[in-house]
Amino acid sequence: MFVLFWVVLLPLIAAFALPFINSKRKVLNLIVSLLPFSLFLALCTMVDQVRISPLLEPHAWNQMLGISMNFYIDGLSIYFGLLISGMGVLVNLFSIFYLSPTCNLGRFYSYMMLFMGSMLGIVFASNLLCLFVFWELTSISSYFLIGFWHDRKEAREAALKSILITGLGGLFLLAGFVLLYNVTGTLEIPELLELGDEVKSSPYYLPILLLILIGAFTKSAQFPFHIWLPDAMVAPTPVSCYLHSATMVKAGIFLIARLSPIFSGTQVWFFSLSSIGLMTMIIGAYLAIKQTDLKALLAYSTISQLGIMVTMFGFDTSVGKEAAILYVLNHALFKGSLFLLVGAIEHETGTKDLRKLGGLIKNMPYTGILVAFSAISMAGLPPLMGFWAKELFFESTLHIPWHGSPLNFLRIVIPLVAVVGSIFTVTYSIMVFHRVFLERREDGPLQAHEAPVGMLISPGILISLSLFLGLFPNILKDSLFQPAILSILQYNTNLAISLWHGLSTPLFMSLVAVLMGTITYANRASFQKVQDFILPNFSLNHTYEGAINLLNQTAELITGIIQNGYLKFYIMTISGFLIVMGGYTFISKVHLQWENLQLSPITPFDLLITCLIIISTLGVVLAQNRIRAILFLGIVGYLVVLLYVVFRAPDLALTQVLIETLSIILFLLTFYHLPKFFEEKTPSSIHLRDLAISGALGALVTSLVVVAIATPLFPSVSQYFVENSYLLAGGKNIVNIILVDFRGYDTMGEITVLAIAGMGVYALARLRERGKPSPSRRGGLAVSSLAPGLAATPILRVVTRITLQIMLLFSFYLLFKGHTSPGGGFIAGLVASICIALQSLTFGLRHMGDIFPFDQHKVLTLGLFIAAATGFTAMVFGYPFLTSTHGFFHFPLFGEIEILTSFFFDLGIFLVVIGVTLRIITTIARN
Amino acid sequence: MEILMAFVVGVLYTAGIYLILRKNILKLVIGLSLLSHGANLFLITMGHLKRGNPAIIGNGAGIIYNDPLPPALILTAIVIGFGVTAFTLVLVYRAYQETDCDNLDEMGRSR
Repeated sequence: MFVLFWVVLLPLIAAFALPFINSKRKVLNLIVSLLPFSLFLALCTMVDQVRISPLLEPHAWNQMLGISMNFYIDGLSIYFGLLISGMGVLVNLFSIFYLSPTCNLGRFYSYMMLFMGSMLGIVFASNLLCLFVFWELTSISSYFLIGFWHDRKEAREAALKSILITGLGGLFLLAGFVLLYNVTGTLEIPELLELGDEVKSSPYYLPILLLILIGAFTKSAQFPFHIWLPDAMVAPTPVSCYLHSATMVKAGIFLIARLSPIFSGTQVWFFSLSSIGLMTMIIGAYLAIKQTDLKALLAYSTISQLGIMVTMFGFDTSVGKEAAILYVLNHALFKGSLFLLVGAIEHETGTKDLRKLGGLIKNMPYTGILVAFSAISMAGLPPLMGFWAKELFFESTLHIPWHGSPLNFLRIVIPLVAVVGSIFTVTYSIMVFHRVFLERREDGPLQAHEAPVGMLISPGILISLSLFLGLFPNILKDSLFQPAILSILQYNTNLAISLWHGLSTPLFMSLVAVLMGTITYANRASFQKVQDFILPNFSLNHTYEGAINLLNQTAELITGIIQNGYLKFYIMTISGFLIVMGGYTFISKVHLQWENLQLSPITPFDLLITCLIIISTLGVVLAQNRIRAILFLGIVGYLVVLLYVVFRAPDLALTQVLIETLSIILFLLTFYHLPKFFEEKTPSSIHLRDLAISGALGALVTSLVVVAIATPLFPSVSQYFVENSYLLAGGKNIVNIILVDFRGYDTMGEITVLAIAGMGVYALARLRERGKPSPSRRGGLAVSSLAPGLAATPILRVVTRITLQIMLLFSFYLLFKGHTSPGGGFIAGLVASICIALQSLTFGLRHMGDIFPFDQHKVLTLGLFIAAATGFTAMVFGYPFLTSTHGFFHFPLFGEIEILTSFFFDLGIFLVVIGVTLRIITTIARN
Repeated sequence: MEILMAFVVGVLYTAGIYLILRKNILKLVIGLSLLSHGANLFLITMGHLKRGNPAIIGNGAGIIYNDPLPPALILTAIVIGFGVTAFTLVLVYRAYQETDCDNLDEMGRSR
């Protein structure tokens, strides 16, 4: 049974599929509501099982790196899993009625499904690295969803802000995970849960904890990272409800809950969580009152309540953790429904600005009732779940564990802060309902209708659930709450929740909060003056913008310096660095042992060739015009061929001679179009400087060669190739066997590069067709005049015609014999293409098709395909990519013939080389 | 021989870099070609020169072969070098055509 695997994977598959059925609205709607619902049901069936014991669903992945795709389900993860899939159903149901059919729904639901899959991945992943990947995926889907209306500037900016902040947090998180792995040696959560003591006694405890907490805080919008959340409200309302209130922002809470058995129980845990949490709670609630935009108000309220959850985890008491985990559901219920209702209000009235709304109870009575109930739950009044969830919060503030003498004042301060936060909460809760539905609107009543039933179903379900749980708190206790708490606390507690606790301190605190909150709302005009006085422009956005600007400016500055557009500058920097660092190393480190040098003898012939190379190189440099430089360059090339002959490397000599020929053809073809050499009016000091740089570099390279020969650091791998070429690979031409067999992977990469270069030439040449017509067609096109066979004297025609067959035959010989004698795919391909090129240049490009009736791109692609297919065939038989085999087969008439699979790879190379070379030559010739 | 090769390689590098540092765009391409010759010769000098037979296995035991590794490395380098030369040639030609400028220092500004 791979239930969890599919629970995570199905939404991700849907995410890829949905954009393709964008136009089929009904199918789309059906999928996005039924898929989350079936996931929800699937998870429901597991509840009983999980209550007895957690389950681990193993999926091995990369065992070498300790990464698995295991999924782990216990009370905590199923609690979150049900929340995510359940909310997913309701939000998508709402979206069907809410979103305008004109927007790209396929894309929207695709992102939503991507989010749902990755969020489920976070809660079920058993491996921390997998969890991290899913974590980042939620950030990415959040980025897409915030920027869904990407034609709006503020949407783009908000999306960027959110991904910068949560992405930065993600990096901290990853660092924390890696450090944790270094301490414990495992990434599996079930194993880590057992290692709490080891982690806590480790010297790395503090850095690990802080790194992970920063990750959690950025995601859960804790102060000072909260600034992305209000901006994220530019997203479509279902997104704000689902991601930015009910689920994604609780990923941080989940992580804290998940890891609390490992990390909690220390002072650092208490102080970092409860201080940040309380601060976030107070600031969020205080700023919420100031908002005039309904969604912004709800966003700050979400921040504040996320702060409450973090605080309660920080208290590190069983009642605190219980309360925190129950608050997750409570918050999702009332805040989810509020967001959806605000969406409905905006849908009907066209605004979510508090100043423009008012007296809506006549227009939208049902919406009004639902908002009233949600606000009651938010304010923490009976009989909804919000009431007892908040009572539990107050209760937990009364049981601070750290009461050493210097900290005693905290036992007063923390409950006090909690009450103040609650006062603000009551104030804005009243505001949400009273201001929108009851207060008379200044510009007369709004023209608006009740929202369609479809939009009220989801909030209705949420708020009824909250009411139901408020009245019967224990109904889900055994099946959901207790197992979730058990997996956080790691021991059983008797959870005591009820609507009526008797006349207790928390009740008294609630009374104060409600009273003071109501008074504050009644005197909101004077409270506003207080707000104008205390931190009137409090915002960290300036800090964020400043940081972004600084980053951009620094990047621009550095880019301006190192990417200044002068090729010369780059070359000089690179050479200069090489000369200074290399030269320093040589002088300080290298002690050349001349006696180690084993030199080969120099024959007069060698001396002649090398002298000629040096002379013609000078000729290239000193040449006054193009043709002379190109001819000298050709001479250098052919002399190098001679050197390869002297060094007994037949394959090299063959290749070089062919390439040299091709290069000269190329240079001559483009010759008329290339810029002339011009008199460089540079002062001789510049020439001297360049000469000094290049001379120093040349000297460095020379000494490098000498040193490298004199100090062999380790035995060469070559001997292995020599010994095994025939034994393992069945070939006698060792160079060829290295290319197609031992180092086949490299060659695969190289022919790919070659293919790209060929395509690049073609693309570059065709670029003009899209842009303006070529400005200069001066000088006539070289080969348009060559086309009918410009240079084709009768003798040449006859000779080329005869040589065609001979050369082609020869190239096949080279290809087939490549593994036993000089040759192989590269050389054979070059011979074949030179012969075809020669033919077509003689008889005109129009006749190319007669000689070579294939599409060059197809040949090239076919070659790459054959090479890759050879590699994959080995994989089919269970060997690594490009494993070769060979054998001797008896054929009638032919007798014993050896067949190497690497031959097919060589055939691929052959075709790629032909395709690329012909492509290049014809492209350049046509131009 | 190796010392001699070291000097040849050094000369090729010097000439290559010197040409790349010139303003003319065609000299850049030529300089690159010289550099790649230099690099190839560098590589082949790393295998001991002229020590044995060509690296093609013959009959009989005890034959010493030339180091097959540098030729294998150089062979693909030569072919790719050709692809790169072709690419830069077309790039230079197209850039020259578009900007009507053959001076590397001014090309960026003449857009």
